[in-house]
Amino acid sequence: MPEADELIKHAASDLGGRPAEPLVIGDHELLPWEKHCHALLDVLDRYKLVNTEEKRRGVDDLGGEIYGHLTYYEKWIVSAVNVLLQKGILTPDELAQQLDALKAESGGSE
Amino acid sequence: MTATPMPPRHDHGAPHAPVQQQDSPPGYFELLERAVRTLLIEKGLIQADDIRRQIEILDSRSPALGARVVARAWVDPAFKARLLADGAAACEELGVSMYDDTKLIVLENTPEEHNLVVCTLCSCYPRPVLGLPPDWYKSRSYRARGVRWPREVLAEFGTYLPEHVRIRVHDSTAAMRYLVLPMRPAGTEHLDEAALASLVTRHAMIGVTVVRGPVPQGAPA
Amino acid sequence: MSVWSSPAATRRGTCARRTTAGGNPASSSACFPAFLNPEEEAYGLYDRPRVTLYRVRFRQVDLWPEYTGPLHDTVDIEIYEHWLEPAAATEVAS
Repeated sequence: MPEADELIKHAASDLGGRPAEPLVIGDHELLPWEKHCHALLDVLDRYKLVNTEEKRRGVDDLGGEIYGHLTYYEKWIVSAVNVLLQKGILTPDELAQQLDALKAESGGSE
Repeated sequence: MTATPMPPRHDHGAPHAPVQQQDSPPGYFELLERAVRTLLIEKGLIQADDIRRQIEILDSRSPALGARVVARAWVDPAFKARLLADGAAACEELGVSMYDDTKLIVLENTPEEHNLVVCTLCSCYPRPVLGLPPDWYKSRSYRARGVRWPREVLAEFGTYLPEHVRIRVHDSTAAMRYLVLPMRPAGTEHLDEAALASLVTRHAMIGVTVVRGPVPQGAPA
Repeated sequence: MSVWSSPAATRRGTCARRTTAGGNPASSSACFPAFLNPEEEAYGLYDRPRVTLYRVRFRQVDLWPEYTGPLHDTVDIEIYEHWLEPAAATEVAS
């Protein structure tokens, strides 16, 4: 278990130079929602609702465990949600209501 | 209704399971994306058209654009000089705009020097000229090791450079984007620009491989 | 360009936060003025003074103790001016 200060001094994304497993030289075609997510974040950056640095900081703020667990675009959308909530552009209530409405429409998972 | 089958949880650099069916229920993160998009459109902070246009832009960019730039640089020394001096401006000449306002730095490979691009912190990548980065480029393995063990990483792509060739690794950040200008392979003097472009791979423009010349007729691949 | 030694500590700030080589002499290969400080941009602050961005080149053997590649292999890192300190005269690399 690393020292507590070591967990803080290095952001979750600060991977350069760390030992890691051999490459899996893979790729996948973006799922439709991932492409929407990418486009959304590009638009959010253009309007400075969530700029690219804010998004990156939001991803780091997820911490190492979540960082290692979520896929690339899953991290993006959670970061964007958190930044928008932090800035008061969205409120937790309206987000919750919107999620409920969408789940009801589509039978999506919890 | 059954839950959406999710790809197995593993290092986010590894390839996903096959693409979900379009009619399966959306997962949690997909719902988040829809919720955010819907709310921001309702509030008038973004337009649905903004998203559509951005998807079109993303779909319009691919490594074929970068390959054209490389091929032009190979046949036109004056263009190559302009490309090395100001990558974005030179790409504009070929109709490739930097839609994200990034500065493009083009790195020329020579017989003495080979360039490799990594974004250790995230996934900075010259998207306007190469499209979206592959999963392996965004993986922990590449981001962690590319900057410190470049020769080992290159070997995993089947690229072995002799020790007299200097390897320059470039760690990318928010502001700059890097495109490797690979060396033109021998035996391509007779090829036109389009044929040259078809030899240039995404891997070569990131720097994990070199460009191979065309396979001679009748020779094994 | 002048030669700088880099700070020992990491710096906060999203993509700006990186492990820099503590005290290793390096050369600067390029300089780009007038960027937003990413540590401030990460919090939506756009009206702070701009900073200069340097591309700083290190020899791999100076960064990583057990680097097995040749001495002339390098890595270029992008470092904002406020993370750099001027080198002492004795630390200037040739």
